[in-house]
Amino acid sequence: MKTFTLSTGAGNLNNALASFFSGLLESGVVDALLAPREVKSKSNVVMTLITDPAGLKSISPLAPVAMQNAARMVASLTVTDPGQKIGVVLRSCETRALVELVKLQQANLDNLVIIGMDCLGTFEPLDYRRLITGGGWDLEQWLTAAAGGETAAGEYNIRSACAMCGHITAEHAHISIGWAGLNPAAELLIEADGELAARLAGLGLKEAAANPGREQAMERIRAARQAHKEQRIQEFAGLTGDLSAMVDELAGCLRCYNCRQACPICFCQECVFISPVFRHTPEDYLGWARMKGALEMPTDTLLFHLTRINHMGVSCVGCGHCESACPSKLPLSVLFQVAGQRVQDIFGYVPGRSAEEELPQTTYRENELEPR
Amino acid sequence: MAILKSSLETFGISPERVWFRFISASEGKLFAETVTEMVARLKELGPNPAKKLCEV
Repeated sequence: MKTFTLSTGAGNLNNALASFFSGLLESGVVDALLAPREVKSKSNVVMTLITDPAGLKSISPLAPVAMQNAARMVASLTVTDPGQKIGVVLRSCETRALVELVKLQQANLDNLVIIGMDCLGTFEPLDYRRLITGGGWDLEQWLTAAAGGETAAGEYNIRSACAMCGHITAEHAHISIGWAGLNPAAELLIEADGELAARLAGLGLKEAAANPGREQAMERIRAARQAHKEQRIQEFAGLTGDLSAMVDELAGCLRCYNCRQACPICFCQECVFISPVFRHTPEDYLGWARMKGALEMPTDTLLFHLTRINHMGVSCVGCGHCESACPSKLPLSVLFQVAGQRVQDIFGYVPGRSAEEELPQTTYRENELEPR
Repeated sequence: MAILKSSLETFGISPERVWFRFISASEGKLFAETVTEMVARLKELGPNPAKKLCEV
């Protein structure tokens, strides 16, 4: 592993990254680049597939906002052979979701150069928009504070799933962009291996020495996040295993399917919940209502969430985009943490750990229910 | 099976309500016995509590 420094300098962070990425495109390390880029008004940052270096001008990869988990877009770019090298700029929850999609045969890593960046959390897109339009937002200032673990900005803070997440560096990256525990307003850390490292050196990056302070800072942040996660799980634990409490908690569900749409793992083209199985007739509804005396509508809410947990719990990487997409703000990220952890523990499975690991649901194990 | 049972537990539905057994096509007797056993156990457990709540 070789470590380089990318000098940024005050007010120049995104320009420095743009010229680094421009070098990757021009030297043919990648033919196209999927990277977060600011929209014209700057009030949002969206994933953009860039082939012309001129298109890099308004990129803002480290902006703390993610509209969706980009693993899905990477799947769209690689589900069949793209025939070109594609660089994808991703956070940890995205690289881990991508690995799950590879195992689910929805994506392919062959033509990818994964450019992983440190992430200390993203804001709800609406909060980010308010921060920008409210004035006074300074990306470099936020990054400098966040690099030490301080993520709050005014009355806003990072999403609840991010506050529980200790995955700072992006796993499976071929090129890593580091800023946690550093001073990102002055310099970023670029790491790469083997042939790729030689090509980066050719782009004029300076080699850097190891920085033990960065590791220490990240350990401290991870410990704080882990403690917060345990506390959230503890608070939620009272509800799990209690059917009527769960029904109550999920009562705000509109069945809009936003969670399903936002989930990077939920990939079925045809979902059972939009199939005729759940297209009930008026007689069905009235029959159930008569049987029970009262019927909450829409129906099947419990079954919908049970099915999502059952299908996605094993592979859930905890990105929390389900909760961000939920208009009722149901506590889906903590629900999935609790339910996901249980099944992952049974199989000793860590989603997103390795593309070679077998998925528990495709592997027959005679003793999967033992000892219980 | 482990995933399903674990998900049911999270929601407070007894995993005992789902059975999974391997029975060969030639073992008709074992099949009948297993079903009888399952029905007996389900009768002990009573109706699914989810049914009593206002929604299925």
